[in-house]
Amino acid sequence: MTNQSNSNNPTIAILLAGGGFWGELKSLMPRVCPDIPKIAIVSKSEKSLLSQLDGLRSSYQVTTLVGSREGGINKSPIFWLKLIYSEWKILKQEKPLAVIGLGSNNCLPLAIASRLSGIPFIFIESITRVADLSLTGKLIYKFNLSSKFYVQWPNLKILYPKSFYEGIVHDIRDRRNNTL
Amino acid sequence: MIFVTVGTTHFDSLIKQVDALVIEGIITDKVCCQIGSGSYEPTACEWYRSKSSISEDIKEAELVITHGGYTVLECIFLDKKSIAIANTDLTGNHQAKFLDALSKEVSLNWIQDLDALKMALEKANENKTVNWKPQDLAGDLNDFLSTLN
Repeated sequence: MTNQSNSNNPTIAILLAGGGFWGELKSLMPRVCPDIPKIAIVSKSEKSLLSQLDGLRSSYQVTTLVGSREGGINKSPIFWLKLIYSEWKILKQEKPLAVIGLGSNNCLPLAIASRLSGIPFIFIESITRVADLSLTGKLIYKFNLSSKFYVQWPNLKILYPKSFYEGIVHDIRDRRNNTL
Repeated sequence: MIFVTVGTTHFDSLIKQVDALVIEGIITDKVCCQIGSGSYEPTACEWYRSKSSISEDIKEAELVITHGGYTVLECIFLDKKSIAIANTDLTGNHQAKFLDALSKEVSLNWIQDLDALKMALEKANENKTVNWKPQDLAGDLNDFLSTLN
């Protein structure tokens, strides 16, 4: 894949998602390239997450595709095309080093947009997925939409050999009382 | 305060059970429920549907009763007394698999059957993490990102 990013002023794009995904992202993100500014992409319905994140260089709100809060997945092809196109435009403009998405359904259109724009997409399956991937994960894995696919339990690496098990989104050593 | 959380979906049977235990006088503490998209609204507990972050409610509670989602880990890392319940109102049962796998790494109070909640409440004690030393994923992620830069 040719490097489409803006290498003079690198940024990293992150898809924000609420609920448990937010807990995992909040835990991981402070340790991910802290010197590289982040760009957030978030559903309009979850824009309150933006105020909980420090160090954002910019943010983009997109029309929600999916989510149990919104009543489920929107299956209209026109909706999908519009969403993928709007995310593709964001990525073409910002040219981040990579896009990181964790778990949520909204990863799928963004992964497609990333592929189309030549920006690497990194997918991290939720830590709550132990015995099998989520549907989003399965589709991203099957259609090779990610440049790197992380799982957080070692048995998933066995089931899905192209994935990577490199631990979990928490830094266990960082616990207050160091009981581990 | 006991904090009950069901995540972004719904877990009416848990909320009903907790509400009943308060009404019966078996739970005497103040209870606050986060009910998500559930249709049962408790009568004997404070409740709300969702907040952008439930971390403050978790920190304030003496005991957390949680569905089998990510919040379980948050409770473990905060050393919170908690009981995790696999949400069998949802399809697929991945919560039970998650709780089962987690319980092999850390000591975790978890149940599948709401009838066991009363007994779990009697036995609830702090979760003590035991020998779970997975790596920090950020390490490898940063290495990968540096190859792109």
